[in-house]
Amino acid sequence: MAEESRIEAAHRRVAAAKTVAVVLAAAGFLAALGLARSSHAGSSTPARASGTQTPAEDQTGDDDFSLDPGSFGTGNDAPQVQTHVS
Amino acid sequence: MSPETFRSMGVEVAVGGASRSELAGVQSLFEELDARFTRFRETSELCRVNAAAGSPVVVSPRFAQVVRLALRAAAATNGRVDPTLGRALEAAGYDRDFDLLEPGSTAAGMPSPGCWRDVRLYGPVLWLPPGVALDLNGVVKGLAADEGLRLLAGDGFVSAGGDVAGRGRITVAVPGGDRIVLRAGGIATSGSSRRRWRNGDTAAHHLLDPATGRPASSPWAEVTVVAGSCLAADVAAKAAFLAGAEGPAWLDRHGLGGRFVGTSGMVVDNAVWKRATAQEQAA
Repeated sequence: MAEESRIEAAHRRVAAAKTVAVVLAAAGFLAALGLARSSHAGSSTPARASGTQTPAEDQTGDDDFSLDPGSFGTGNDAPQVQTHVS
Repeated sequence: MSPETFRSMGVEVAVGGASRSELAGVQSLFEELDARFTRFRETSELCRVNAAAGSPVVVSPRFAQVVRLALRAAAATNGRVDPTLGRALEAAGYDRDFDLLEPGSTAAGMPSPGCWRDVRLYGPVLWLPPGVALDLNGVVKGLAADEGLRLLAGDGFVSAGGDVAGRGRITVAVPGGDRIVLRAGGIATSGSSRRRWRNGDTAAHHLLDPATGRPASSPWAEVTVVAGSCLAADVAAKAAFLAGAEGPAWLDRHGLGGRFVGTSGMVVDNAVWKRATAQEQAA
């Protein structure tokens, strides 16, 4: 009987821990969402230089954008392709 | 290097230097991006995201990547290339595939300025302000050309409606009647000389002033830019067009070559463009 009670108590502790974990996860998501909405109102962070992170994003770094120059010069051959407004 | 062509994203795509399987890969890439980012199909992820404006929505990794690029492009251009002008484009009358626009039809809705700084992206969770719609076409076309070029093993090019990503010596005809050799990177042309329509009694085009949400007025009809990628060239060309008379100097400050064709037909090359073409002639 005492053995069964210890098992039931363990189950209760596991269930309580799961509940706490779910509540904490939900609270974290809501806090992040609240932060997003509060920082939306009147946000006026100045623009940054090219290739840097904007204030509206999180960190990832796998898709940078920059206004780097290309390499070109005058051509005399017949054009292979044409650039134009599309 | 005779190019193969197909249509996607409302433009002709030309691919030079590709094997048959590489060409198939490029076409598949364009179709995947078009299906995900078109404003004109309710099934697209873009339409689903725009419909959820005001609430957080979980987006695909690809969608998040493109939104990040668009926000960084907006930051790099001081907000001139703003991805939040989807509703303003609809208000200007560009509410369906361009080929289907009816001349003189009057669009419903008021123009709204851009608000890219208000967009929030946390990992896969995207939040748009209520009533805001993204238009990512300014990023997707150039990105598709750059990624398409990476599918080619050797030298070649991918042109998406005249926005070109190239590797090797690619001879490109540019507005104003000249040719340049693109060795690496991209070249793109933006302007108001095409994709024009009438919204009621008003002439309209697709390059909007993000401050007003209305078609921008500019002394330029076309702006051509060479940059390190087709995406950067396309973004810079739009920004330089929208910068008006400051466009050539703005490109010079970024070290980018630009050719400007005025509404009167006058051709203006910025300092970087002049230097690059003069060096080639001297050599």
